[in-house]
Amino acid sequence: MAKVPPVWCADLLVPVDICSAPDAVNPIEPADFSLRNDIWDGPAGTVRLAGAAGEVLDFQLVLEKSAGPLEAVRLEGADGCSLALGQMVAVPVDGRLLDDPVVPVDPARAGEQFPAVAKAAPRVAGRRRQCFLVEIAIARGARPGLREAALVLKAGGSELRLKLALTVHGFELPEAPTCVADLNAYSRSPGAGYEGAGVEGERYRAVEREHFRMAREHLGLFHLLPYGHSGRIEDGYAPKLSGRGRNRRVADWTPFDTHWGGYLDGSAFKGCRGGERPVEYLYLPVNLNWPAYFENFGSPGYEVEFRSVLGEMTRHFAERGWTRTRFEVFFNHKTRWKYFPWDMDEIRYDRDNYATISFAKMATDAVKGAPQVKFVNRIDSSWIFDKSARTELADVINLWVVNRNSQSEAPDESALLREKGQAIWPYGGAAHIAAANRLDSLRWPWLAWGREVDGFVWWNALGWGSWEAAGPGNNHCLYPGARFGLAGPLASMRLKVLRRGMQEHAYLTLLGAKTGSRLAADEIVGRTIGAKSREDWYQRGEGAEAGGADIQATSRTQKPWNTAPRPAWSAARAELARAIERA
Amino acid sequence: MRKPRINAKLKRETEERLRRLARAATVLVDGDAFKGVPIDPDINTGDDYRVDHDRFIAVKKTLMKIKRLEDGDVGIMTWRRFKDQADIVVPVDSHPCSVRPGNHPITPAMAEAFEGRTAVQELDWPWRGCRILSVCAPLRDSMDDVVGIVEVFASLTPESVTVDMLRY
Repeated sequence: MAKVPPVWCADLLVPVDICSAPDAVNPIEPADFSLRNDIWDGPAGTVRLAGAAGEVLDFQLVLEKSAGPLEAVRLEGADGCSLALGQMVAVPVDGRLLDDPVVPVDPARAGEQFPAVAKAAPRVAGRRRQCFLVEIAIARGARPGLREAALVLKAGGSELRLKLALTVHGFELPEAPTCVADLNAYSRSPGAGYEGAGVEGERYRAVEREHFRMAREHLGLFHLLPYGHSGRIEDGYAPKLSGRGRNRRVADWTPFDTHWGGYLDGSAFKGCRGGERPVEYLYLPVNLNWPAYFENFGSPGYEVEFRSVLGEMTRHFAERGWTRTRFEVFFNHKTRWKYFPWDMDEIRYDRDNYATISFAKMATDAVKGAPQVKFVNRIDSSWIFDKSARTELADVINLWVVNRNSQSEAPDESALLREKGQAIWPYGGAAHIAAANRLDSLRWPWLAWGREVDGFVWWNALGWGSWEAAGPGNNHCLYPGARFGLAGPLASMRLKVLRRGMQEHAYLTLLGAKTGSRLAADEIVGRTIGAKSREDWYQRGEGAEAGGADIQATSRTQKPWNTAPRPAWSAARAELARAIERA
Repeated sequence: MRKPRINAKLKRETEERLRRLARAATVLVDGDAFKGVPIDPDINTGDDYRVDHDRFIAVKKTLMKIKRLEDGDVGIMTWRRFKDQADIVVPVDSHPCSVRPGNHPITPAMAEAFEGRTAVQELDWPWRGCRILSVCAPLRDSMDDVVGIVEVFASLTPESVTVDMLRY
């Protein structure tokens, strides 16, 4: 049996079993994983990392009980790099307690903070080891080359120096993400779990803002649908309207501007890693009962109400200079939710297409007065995506959010839409917390690149349940931080993995930009992961996927992108870096 | 949590208002259109649930207009019999009973309405933290058969929680 060292390190993608016997820290990794793995050489006490300027490198630092509690950590000899630390805490998943949320702690004061965090976290009986997330951020402009640095730990009253061999590549990642990683959520959900944050007000807005900032720091986009199935809009998410018919107009922009203005001019992201930029996309409050009263549907007044308020929106956004965000007109209504007669979200039957088409045309016409303001018509599609993409919808819908499994069968339809200039984001969820590795979260950005689409969506980033009921654990990518006294969310390990995937998407994009095509990247990815071309990222005709709107299903395909082992992805990343440096 | 005090005068006035609205609905909602809203009456939810667009829209627009006959907080929705339960068909506002799947036990007041009589009930709305007053009244088709019920409801503590979903 391999002897587990008191302190060891592991790749971000490997969940560490916090209660298992010492020789089984992960069910699918070798028994000596804690002694030696792809980033860790235990006998030498060395961690090996490599990344580009502008990149954040994460790994897990694991302390067995015998090491004693962690008191402090510092980084030495890594010029151009900074250190951040997170304490991993457990959530109940399928009857077990598994680490996933990451509570930020001050590296210099970890020992002071550790007891409070442990006390506030769900207690794990029989915990054998404590995991920490170590983040090394490589500054923009950092000089390339190897740093023979050290991670100095103080634990159990003694000091331990881990060698850190950190290679900074000869290129820099862009500050903005190279595809959209959309973290979708609903209505007032960011305020859940925070006292006094259930209704519109500065307290709620401050908590919500931390969600947007956390998403940006992880190269994601927090995305909040501002209305419910009934068409009800929460206070503060829309401007106040007055009048009916020809008298329908915006009475007061203050609520909308107060709520969304900081996201639209970028000021909400001041000081945030990822940049002080406006959000890339924003849902509008437009729905079947706003701004027009559905009571007037089919009569001239409905269209007048709809057009006049959208026209006012256009002018207001132009005056404010909100021209860098794409404003989404999206009707999240389904027949099964009973409030409205059509499926406009996840259209199931062709007979419902006409409603989406006619609304999209009306919206496009209503906002044409200020072309510098970008409006997009959006649908979410699954059941009949392949058919819908060959209807008039293809011309009027600019953003197609498509169930990943439905999209996997339709490469030609996806290409057709992109030829028309429309954007596609496959949607689904993050990896299950209980999965043996976190590859499913890593693969999303790779899949976006492989399928030549513009982004992807984790449809329910905050989940429905409470902290104590994470369910199967494929939502909850951000957790309420209130129980740790924080006025904002905690990242999950899956969100950390997502950032790594997004950084790797930037590698793929950079290589393409440097070489003028995706051939070089295809060759590397084919050799390492096994996906040699765009076609290899799809499942044309396989019928292997769950269909329709089954958005939580994990792919069952045997295509290499879904079966390649964890080391293949690390090898691809390393080869891409070398190729970028050579190009 | 301390329960909010319910004002007896407000309650009486609310019931009168809801009864007037329910009466209007029994007259104005087209029972024949209502009866034909679900395309397959045996399905009440899920991916294959479909409705007749024109009939649905006609009923929904009528309900929305009825809401405007009286000032003050009010929600409105309709039910049909579904097996041994009642099923939400055309809601305008949210209600303590979920719209999906939509079938719920028939309360005594709903049973009265399915029998052709108007009845009143009080319901708790735990997650919104309010108590509502509700009036259920029959919807009839052109043959004078009861084909469903309309439920109009209002918060009994409208100063803190309202049920009207469509105010803006």
